[in-house]
Amino acid sequence: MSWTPQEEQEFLARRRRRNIMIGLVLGAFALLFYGITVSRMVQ
Amino acid sequence: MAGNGIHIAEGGAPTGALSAADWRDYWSLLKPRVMTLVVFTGACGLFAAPGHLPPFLAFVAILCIAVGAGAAAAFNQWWEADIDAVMKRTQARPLPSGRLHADNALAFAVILSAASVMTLGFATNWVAAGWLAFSIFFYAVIYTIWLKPRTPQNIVIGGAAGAFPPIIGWAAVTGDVTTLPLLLFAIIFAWTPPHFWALALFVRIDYANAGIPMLPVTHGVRETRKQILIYSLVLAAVAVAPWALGLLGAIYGIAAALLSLIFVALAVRVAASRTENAAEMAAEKALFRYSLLYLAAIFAALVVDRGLA
Repeated sequence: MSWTPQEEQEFLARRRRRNIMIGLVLGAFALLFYGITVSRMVQ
Repeated sequence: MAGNGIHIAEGGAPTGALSAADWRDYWSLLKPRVMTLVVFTGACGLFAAPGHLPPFLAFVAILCIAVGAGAAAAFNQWWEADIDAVMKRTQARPLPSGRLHADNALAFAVILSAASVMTLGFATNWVAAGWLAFSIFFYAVIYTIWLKPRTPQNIVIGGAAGAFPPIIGWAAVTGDVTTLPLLLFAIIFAWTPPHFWALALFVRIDYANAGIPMLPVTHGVRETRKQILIYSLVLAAVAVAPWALGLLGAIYGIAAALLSLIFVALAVRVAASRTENAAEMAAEKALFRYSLLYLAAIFAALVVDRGLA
């Protein structure tokens, strides 16, 4: 079974959105740990 | 076959288009609406606790409680995908609809569990992190895998899983668990059965079709109504206990007494109802809606009382 060009385009768009979201979450996670470290040092 | 579960045919074209999950599918695995209540009760536990936590660390603690609850929900949906496929209410979820691969859902749940527990431990203390880890284990294993498919008392014992957030919030500040957070736990614990059984009464056909032994399915509508009334009385007693024991002031005491009085009145209406037709269960629907407001209001009263103390 193969995809139609439209289905493939939809798949690629979903994957792109998912990858962008993973990047954002990982960036936020790094910032979170930076913030935790600073807060604990100040505390 | 690609690593993310997307099947690629010989010619290179991927197959199984619907398994290409969007980030929104992962987001819905977390049951964001349930998370709202968890965040609220966890935050109330945190604000009610004596002591001080820097605002950023308080934010991280609440975030970890939310993510931990979301991870437990993802475990639940991963395990119950076949049941969800049978029930109208849950058929459109990412796993039963085929948009998301089961392995990816499991990996997502494991990663979020580990990340939330470790982050909470690092940001606050390991007592809070331990409670969070135990709450995820309790919901995913004891409730979802063990109790829910085996006993009509699933909601009673499983209700404990949703009752941990105030304890975790409290422990994040104090590193300890005392009488008040245990009473907050007891309030949610006693609130869960009448809340879920009110819902189960008007969706019992769905539960019966899915083979889940919910009380209305196993013991009938009449017995469920009786149990709702009994648990509502227990809830009322537990809800006023923090005031009666002198742990909270009059603001909380008056609010808890009035809110509980309405709760019991609605439960009496449910107990007096005789209809078996879901469409005519106005009393049950009213109790279900009010129970959501009840929990939010009683925890808000707790925070106001502690804030003014």
